Amino acid sequence: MRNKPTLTLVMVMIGAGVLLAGSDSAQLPYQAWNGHWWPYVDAAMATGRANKPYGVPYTDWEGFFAPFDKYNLALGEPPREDLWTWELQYHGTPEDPEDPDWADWYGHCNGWAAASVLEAEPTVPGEYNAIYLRVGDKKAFLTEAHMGDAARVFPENPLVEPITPVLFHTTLVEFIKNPAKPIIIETSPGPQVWNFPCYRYEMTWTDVGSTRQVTTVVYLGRDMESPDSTSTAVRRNTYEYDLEMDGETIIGGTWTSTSRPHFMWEPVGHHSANPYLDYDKARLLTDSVLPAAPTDDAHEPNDTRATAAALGQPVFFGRLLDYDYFRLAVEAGETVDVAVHPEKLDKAVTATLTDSQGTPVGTVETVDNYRVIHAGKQYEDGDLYLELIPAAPQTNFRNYGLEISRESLSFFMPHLANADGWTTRMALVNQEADPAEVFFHFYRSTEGGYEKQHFPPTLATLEGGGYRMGLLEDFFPDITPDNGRWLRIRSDRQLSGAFLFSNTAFGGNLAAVPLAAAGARKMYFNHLAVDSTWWTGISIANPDINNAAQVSLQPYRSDGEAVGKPLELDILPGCRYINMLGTAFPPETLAEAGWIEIDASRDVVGFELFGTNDLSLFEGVPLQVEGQTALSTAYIPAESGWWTGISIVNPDSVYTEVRITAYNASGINAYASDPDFQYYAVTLTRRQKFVALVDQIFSNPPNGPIVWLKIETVPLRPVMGFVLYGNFEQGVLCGYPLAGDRELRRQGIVPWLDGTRLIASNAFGSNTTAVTIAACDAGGATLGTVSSGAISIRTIKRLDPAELFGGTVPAGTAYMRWTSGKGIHLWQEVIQAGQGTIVIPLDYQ
Amino acid sequence: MLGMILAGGAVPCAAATAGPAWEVETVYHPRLPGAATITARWWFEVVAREADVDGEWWRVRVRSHDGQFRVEADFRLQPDTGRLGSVSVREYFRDAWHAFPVLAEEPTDVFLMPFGIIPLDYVGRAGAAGKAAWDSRRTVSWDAPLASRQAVRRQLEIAAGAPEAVTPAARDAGEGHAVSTPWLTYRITDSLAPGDERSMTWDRDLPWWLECRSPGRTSRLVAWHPRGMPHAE
Repeated sequence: MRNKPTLTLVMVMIGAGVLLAGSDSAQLPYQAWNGHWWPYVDAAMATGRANKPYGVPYTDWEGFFAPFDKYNLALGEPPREDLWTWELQYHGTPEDPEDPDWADWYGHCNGWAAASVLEAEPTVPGEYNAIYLRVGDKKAFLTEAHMGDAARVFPENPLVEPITPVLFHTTLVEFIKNPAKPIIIETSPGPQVWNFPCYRYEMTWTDVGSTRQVTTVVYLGRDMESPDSTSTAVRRNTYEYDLEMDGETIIGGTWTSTSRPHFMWEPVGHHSANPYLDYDKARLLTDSVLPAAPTDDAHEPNDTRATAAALGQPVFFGRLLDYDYFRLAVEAGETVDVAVHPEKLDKAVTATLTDSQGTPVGTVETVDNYRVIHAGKQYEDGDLYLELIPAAPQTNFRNYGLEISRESLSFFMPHLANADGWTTRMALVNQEADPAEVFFHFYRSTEGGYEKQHFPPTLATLEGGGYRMGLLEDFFPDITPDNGRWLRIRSDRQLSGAFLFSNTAFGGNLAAVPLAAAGARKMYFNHLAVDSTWWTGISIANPDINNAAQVSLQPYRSDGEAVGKPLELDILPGCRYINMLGTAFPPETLAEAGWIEIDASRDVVGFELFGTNDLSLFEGVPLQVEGQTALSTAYIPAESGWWTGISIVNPDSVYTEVRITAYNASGINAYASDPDFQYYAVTLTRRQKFVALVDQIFSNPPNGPIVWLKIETVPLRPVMGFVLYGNFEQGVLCGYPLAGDRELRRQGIVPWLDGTRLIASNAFGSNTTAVTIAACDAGGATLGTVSSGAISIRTIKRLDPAELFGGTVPAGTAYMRWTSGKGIHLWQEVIQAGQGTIVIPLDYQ
Repeated sequence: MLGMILAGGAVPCAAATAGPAWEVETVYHPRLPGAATITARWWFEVVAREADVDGEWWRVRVRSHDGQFRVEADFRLQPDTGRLGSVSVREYFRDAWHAFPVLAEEPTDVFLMPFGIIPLDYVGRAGAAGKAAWDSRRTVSWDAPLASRQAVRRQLEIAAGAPEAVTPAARDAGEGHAVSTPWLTYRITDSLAPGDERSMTWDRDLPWWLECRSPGRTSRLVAWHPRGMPHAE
C-alpha cells in the first residue's frame, strides 16, 4: 500500500507579516525492526558474550551458546572452523585502548540496519535439527548476512563532503514518501559510524521570506536493544535546516542544528562480510519455528555405553530426552577437559566421565553455572566415555552444551621410510628449558581410514634443551620395516627436528626434511621435474583424525595459466596421500606445468622428494607456505662443475617486479662497476614463475665471483622461491627454500654429520656479527667452542667446523649449538662422497 | 520453449528476444567500513520493438546475469534519437516483490537513476554528431517534484570531451562482441551532489554507453549481441 501525502499548508497571520507554515510526513507500511549492534569487542556471534554496556540491561546474553556454533551444528557442519575463526579474526577485536586500530564503537550496525529494512523481523524462536534458535540468534544470522551489503550512498563521497540539507531533504522524500523505500542514515558526522534504518519522517516548517526553516524528525530503528528484543520502541532524531526557496522550489540550503547526519545509504544487494555464512542456509534457520515438543538431537540413539556417539568436534549442543553417552577418542599426550553446560535445561542432569571400564576419571570443577571435568594428560591412546543422565527428560526446547578441549602441541613428519634399503634418521630438540614429555603416533592409511601403530620408544622425556639423533630403529627398537607411515609427535613443549632419508643401495644419497610445527591450507611447490631422467614425489598428510580434508592440486604454467584439471583429493581423517607426480597427472599436463598450488579445506602438512630415476641424485624440500618480499640464497658455489638454479613464483594475483642482486664475498654488488647493469629484473604477473641458472642471468660479473643473491620485490609483494644446486659428476644435489626475515635466528642446533659445512649469512643484517659454535656430546656437555670470526653485513661465510676446531671436531661430538649476536640465516650443507643435502637448522630457544 | 524465466519468477515470461542484447558489468566500490567490493553482471535485452510517430522504440528488460541480485527493470529506449522513458524497477526484499515506477513522464535524453543497483544512468549522445560535440557544454535544469506542491531544482552540467580510456572487457560473452571503441565522454555534475561527478563514455554507433563511472561504481559494457541473447530452447 502506498503512503498518502499529508502535506498541509496553513496560513498564519503574525503581526504585520504573513508567515507561511507547512508540514509533511510519510511512513513506510512497515517499521524497521530493532536489534543489537553486536560490538566487535564481544565478538558475540562467535562467543555468545554480549557484555558491552551501552545501556543494555544485561551482562551475559547466551554465554556459551553462541549463534555461530548453533548455525554450524544446526546445519550439520563442523563447528569452530572457518565461520567462527573468521568472525574472531575480523569481527572480534579484543578490548585494547592502546591499539590505534581498535575502537569500542566498531560493530555490526550497518549489517543490522540493512537487515532490519530488507528482511522480515524474526519474532519467534525456532528449532532446526534439534538446535534451539532464539530470536537473537536469528537476528544475528541476518545481521551478518547483510554486513557486506553493497550500498548506494548519498552523497557517494561522504568522507569528502557530508550530506547537504537539500540532498538530505530530497532523498528522504524520494525514498520514504514517493516510492516508499527504506533508507539508512549514518547519523555521526565524526569518525564514528552509527547507522540507523529510517522508516518514517515528520517535517514542519515556517517561511521567512524566501527561507524555509525546516525541522525534520526521522523515526529510526534501535540497535541497542537486547538481541532477543522484538520491541517497537523508536529512536527519533531531529534535524533543523534552512531551505532557500524559489516559490515552492528548493534551490539551496544550510544546516542550522548542530545535530546533522553524515550520509544516507540504501542497501542494494545482500552480501555477507563473513564469507562462511551462507544467506540461503541462514534463511533456513531464521524461517524455522518450534515444533509441538522438543525433538532429540542428531547423535541419537546413544542411550548406552555400547551405543555411545563418537564426539570428535570441539563443541556439541544436544537434547536430554533420555540418557546420552559419548565416546571421546584420546591420544597419548593430549590434556583433555570436558565442559558440560546443563544450565539451559529445565531438569537436573548428572555428568560423569569414565574410562572404557566405566570407572570415573578426572576431577570436577564447578564454574559459574556449568561444570568442567578435567581428565588431565593422557598417557595411552584410548576412549573416554561421557555419561549424561537426566533426573527426568527435559521438557523445554533448550540445548545442553559440551565443549571438549584437547591441549597439546603437535609436530608432523608426513613420510617415514625404513624398508627396501631406505633409512630414516630423526634429530629432535626440546627448544625449552623444562623437560618435554614426547608421545609418538604412527599413522598408516588404510582403505576407509587410518590405522594407528604403536612402537615403544626409547625416548619418553627429552630434557630441557635436550637433543637426540638416531635411526628410527634406535628410537623404536620394535619398529617394523615400512615405507607407508607418517608421524605425529605430541608434546607440551616446543620441539624442532629434522629427518634425513637415505638409501644405501643408491650410493647413500641424502635428503633432509624439517619437522613441521604446523600445517597450512595453502601450500606451493615450485619445482616439478618429471621426465625420462627425473621423478618428483609428494606426500600430503591430513593430521586431523576426525575430519576429512578436501585438497586440490592445481598445476600452473610458468606464464601463470592453469594447465590441466586440478587433482582433487579427499584425504580421510589421519590419512595421507603419497604419489609420484608422473602418476598423479597426465604427461601433457606435466609437460607444461611449472609449479603447483595446493588448496586444502583444513590444515595439511606435506613435502616433496625428487631425484633422478637411477637415484644418483636425490633431495627433499618442505612445501612452501607463505611468500616474503625480501629473500636471500645461501652460498652459490663457483667451483668448476657446480651449477645453481633459482626459481621464484608470484602466487598472488597482482604483479610485482622481482629484482635479483648478486653479491661477492666482500658484500659488494658483483656488478658495482657496471654502469648499465646493477640487478637482474623480471616482472612476474599473476601466478607467474621465473626459473633460471645463475650463470645464465649473471655472466662474467666484473666484481665477481658471485657468492650469494638477494631477491627483492617492487612493489612489495610476497613471492616464494627455491634454490637447487649440485654437481652431476660428484652426484650431489642440494635444494632449499629461499630465506627471508621469518627465518632469521640468533641460535640453533646442527646435527653433526660428516661433511658438514655451516653457511652463515649476514645478508639481512645491519651490523657485523660472529657465530660461536659449540661442539656438544650426546648428553649436551660442551666439548669445545670456536668462533666464525667477523661476518660483515651482506656477506656469507661457508664454515668448515673441522677446520675451525684445528683439523677435526672434538671426539664424541653429537651436535653443534651455534649462537650469533645478530639475527642471521644459517644452513647446514652436508656434502659426503657422492651425496649431499641441505639441513635447515633446528630451532633452539 | 522459447523464452526465459525471469529471476524470482515474479514477472511472467517475456517473449523471445526481439532485438539486440548487451551485458554490463558493474563494480560497486565499498562505501561503508567493512563492506566488500561487489561485482555484478547485468543483462539488457530488447524484448519488444514498437514504432510510433517518433520512430522505433525498444522495450528493454534488465536483470541480474546470474540471479545474484533479485531486482529487475524495464524501460523504453529510442536507439536513433537516444531517448529513454517508462522506467520501472522491481526489487525483492522482506520476502516480497516491490514495484517502483521511476520515470513515467515524457521520454528524456537525460536520466539519472535515483535509487537502486541497476546501472541505468543515461545521457544520450544522439545530439553529438561530430567532432565539435567533443567540446560542447550544456546545462539541463528542471524542477523535480517532491511532495504535492514542493519541488527541488536539479541542474546538471554536462560537458562533452575526448573519450577517457576505457578498459576493454577481457573477453566477450558467447556470441557477443567485445566492444572497445570509445568515442565521446560526458562529465556530468549534479547540483544535488556536486562531488559525485559521473562520467559516461560512448561508442559512435552503439545505442548504449560503453562505460559509466561514479565514485561509488564503475559500469562497463562487456558484450554486445546484435541478434539478441543466445537462449536455449
